[in-house]
Amino acid sequence: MSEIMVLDDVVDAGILVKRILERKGHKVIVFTNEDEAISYVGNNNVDLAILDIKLSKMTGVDVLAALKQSQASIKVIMLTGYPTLETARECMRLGADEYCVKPIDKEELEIKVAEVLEKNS
Amino acid sequence: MNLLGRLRFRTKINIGITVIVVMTALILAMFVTRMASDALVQEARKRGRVLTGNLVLRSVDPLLSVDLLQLKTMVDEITEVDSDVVYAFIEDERGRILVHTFSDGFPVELINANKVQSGSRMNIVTIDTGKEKIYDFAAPVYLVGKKIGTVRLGLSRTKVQQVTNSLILAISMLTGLALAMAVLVSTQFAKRITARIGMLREHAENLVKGNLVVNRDKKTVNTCHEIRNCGKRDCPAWQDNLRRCWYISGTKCPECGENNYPDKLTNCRNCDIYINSSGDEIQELTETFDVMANTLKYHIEDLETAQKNILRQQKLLQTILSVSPDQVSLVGTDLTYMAVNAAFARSCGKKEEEIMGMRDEDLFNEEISNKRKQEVISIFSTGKIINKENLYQPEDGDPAQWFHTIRVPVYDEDQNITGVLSTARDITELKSYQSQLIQSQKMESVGKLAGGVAHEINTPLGIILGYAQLLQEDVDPESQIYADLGIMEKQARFCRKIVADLLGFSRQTTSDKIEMCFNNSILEVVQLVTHTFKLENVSIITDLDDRYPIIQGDPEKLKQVWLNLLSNALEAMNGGGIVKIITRLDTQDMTITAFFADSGYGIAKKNLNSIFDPFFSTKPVGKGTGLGLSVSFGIIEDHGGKISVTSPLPEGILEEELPEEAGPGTLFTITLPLEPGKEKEILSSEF
Repeated sequence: MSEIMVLDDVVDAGILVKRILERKGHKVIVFTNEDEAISYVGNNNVDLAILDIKLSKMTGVDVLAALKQSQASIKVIMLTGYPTLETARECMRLGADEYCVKPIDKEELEIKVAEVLEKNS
Repeated sequence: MNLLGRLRFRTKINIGITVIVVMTALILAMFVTRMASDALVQEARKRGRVLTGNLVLRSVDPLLSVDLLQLKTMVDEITEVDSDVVYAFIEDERGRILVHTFSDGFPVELINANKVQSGSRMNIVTIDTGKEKIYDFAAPVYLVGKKIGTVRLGLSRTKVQQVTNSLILAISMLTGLALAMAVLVSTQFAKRITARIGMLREHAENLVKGNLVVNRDKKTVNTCHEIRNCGKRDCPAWQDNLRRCWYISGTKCPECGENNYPDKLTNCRNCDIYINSSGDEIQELTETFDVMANTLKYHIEDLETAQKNILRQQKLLQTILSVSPDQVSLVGTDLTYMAVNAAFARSCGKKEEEIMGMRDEDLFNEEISNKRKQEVISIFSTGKIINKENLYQPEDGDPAQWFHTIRVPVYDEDQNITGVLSTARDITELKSYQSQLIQSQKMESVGKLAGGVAHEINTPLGIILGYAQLLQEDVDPESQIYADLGIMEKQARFCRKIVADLLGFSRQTTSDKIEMCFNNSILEVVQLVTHTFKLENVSIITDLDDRYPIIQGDPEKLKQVWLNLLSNALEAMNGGGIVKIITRLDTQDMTITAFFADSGYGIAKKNLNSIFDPFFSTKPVGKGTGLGLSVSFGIIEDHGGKISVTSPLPEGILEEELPEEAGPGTLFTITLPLEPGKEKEILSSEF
C-alpha cells in the first residue's frame, strides 16, 4: 500500500516494525545509519518515515528536519524510548505527525500508521 | 650633710654670707693688728733707746763725783716725765746699785735679767713680770774707754697692747655692721627667690595631681606682638598668650626661622624681644616647666587615647575568645597552660583560672596527653604548623567527636618560639554533612544510572513485546502456545510500566507548572509502590475525593513528595501495617488537602520540629540522605501550599483493623491551593 522507511540504531527494533507493518501490506525499508536513510528518502518516493530519536551520529530531530527539507510532503512518526516535553515540542514544530513512546503496542503502532497515512490521503 | 641638705634655702644663703663676712673680718683683723703692733713696738723701742741714751750722757759727771743725789734726781725725773717708764736704776762698775726708782725694795733678779755684753753699746730684752711685759734697756757708761757704770731702763708694753685692742675692736664692730647689712639684703633676695620657687613648686604639685591646665587665668605681660605692634594676626603668637614666642613654632617674625624650640633659641638670642623679655634662670625654668606641662598634657592625652584603644581591643579580644565556640589555648615553654578560653575550659570541665599553670597530663588521660605533649614539643623544635583532623572518643560513652586542630608557634621579638597556640574546632556536624552529602551524591548517581538503565532497557522490552504479539497471530487462539505468549506479553507490559515509572522519576528537566489531576498524581505513585509494599506486608488504602480536583502544579515534583512520604511510612512499619491516603477538596477555601497516615512507630515529640530540616534523619547510618522531607517541604512551599506533621495519629484517621505491631503512627497533612484553570495547552491535548 505505502512505502515506509524505518530508522533506528537498534536493528532488531527496526526489523520488528518492518515485520508488523509488512503484515499490513506496506513496503518497509530499515536503516540504522542516518546518512543512508536521508539519502534514500532523497532518491526515492517515501510515504512515511518512522524515526527513533536517540541515534548514533545525529538525533531523530535533526533527521526529521533533514527529511522535511528534502521532501516536504513526507509523513513522520517519532518513536522514542526517552520521551521529553522539549523533544516533543520541537518535533511537532518541525512537522512530525505523531510522537509515540517505546515500547509501543503492536495494535497501537498499526493504528497510528493507518491514521497518519489516511490523513494524508 | 643630711642636716645641711634639709636647711631652708634662705638659711643656707644667710649662713653662707655670714661665713664669708666673718672669715673676711677675721683675716683682715689678724693682718691689720699684726702690722699696727709691729709698728708700735718699733716706735717704743726707739723711744727707749733715746731715753736710755740721754740718761747715760747725763750720768757721766755724777758718777765721777759720786753725786748720788743728782743721780737719784735724774732717775726719778724720767719716771715722772714719761708714764710708760716703769723703772730706772744705775749700777757702778762692779754691778752694785747706786740709785733706783723702786719704792718697795729692789728686785734683785732684775740685775741678771739683762747683761750687757762686752763691747756692746746697748742691749734690749723683754721681761715678763707676771703682770705685764716690759722692755728692759741696758747701756754701759764709758769714760775714756773705761766702763764706770751701767744705766738700766724698763719701758712698759701695756699701752701698745691697748692700742692694738682698740684697733681690733674697731674692726670687729665694722665687720658686724657689714654682716648685718649683708644678711638683711640676702634675706630679702632669698625671700623673693624662694617665693618664686614656691610658686613653681605649687605649679608642680598641681601637675602631679593631674591638673595640666597651665596658667589659663594669667596673661603673659608684654607679648611680642604688643612690643613690636606687628599686626601679623595670623602668627601663632597671637593665639597663644600663655607662652613666650620663642617656645611657639611657626612664628612669623623674620628672625624666627623655621626651627622649633629648643633649636629656635639659636635665632632668638639676637632678637630684641628675647633680650628684653627673657628673665633670669628661674623665669626660664618656669617657662620651660610650662612648656613641659603642655607637652606632658598632650602626651598624656595621647597615652589615654592609646590606653583606651588598648583596653577596647583587649576587651574585644576577650569577648571574641570567650564567645568563640572553638577551643583556644596557649602553652608556654614549660608545657604549662598560659591562657585558655571559655570553650576550652568547658571541654575540660574546669574553670579558666584553674587551668592556668596546669599541664596536659592534669587535664587528659595518658594517651591523649602524651600525644598533645609530643605535638607541642615538635612545634617548639621545628616551628612547623600542625593542621589536622582527629577523632575524639570520650570515655563516658558520649558520641565520638571530630575536631579540626591547628597548632601554631608564637614568636617573640628575637624570633624565638615562646609558646604554642592551639585552636580546635568541632567539625562533627560537618563530617556528618560530608557523609550525608557523599551518600546523597551516590543516590544522585544511582538515580542517573537508573534513568540510563531504564532508557536502555526500554528497547529490548519493546522488541520482546512486539515479537510476542506477532507470534500470537500465527498460532491457534485455543492452543497452549497462544496462552504462553499471552503471559510473555503481559510480563513485558509490566516491565514497561516499571521502566516508564522509573524514567518519570529520574527526569532532570524542570518542567513548568501545568494543569494536572491531583488524585492521578497520587494514584500513579501508589501504583508504583503497591507491589513493594505488599512484599513488606503493608497495605495501601486510598480514599480520594471523587470530584477529581485539578490544580496548577508540577506533576513530577509532587510525585516526588508523595513517594518520599510513602517511603518514610514504609520504613516506619516493621513487620507490616497500613498506609491510608485521603484527599479532600475544599471549594470554600479553594484548596485541596492530602492526608498520609501510617500505623508505624511515629515520630518522637522532640523531633517534630526538626523533621523538615536539611540532613535531619532518624534512620540508621547509611540509610537515607536526610534530604527527602526538606526537599518535599520546599516543593510544597514552591506550590504555595503547606505541609505539617502530627504524631501520634489523631482519632478517626485509621479506623481499619490495625495489626498487632501497630505503633502510634504519623500523619502528614499537605494543603495546596486551587488556581483558576487556564486554557488547555495545545501540546497537552496532543498527548
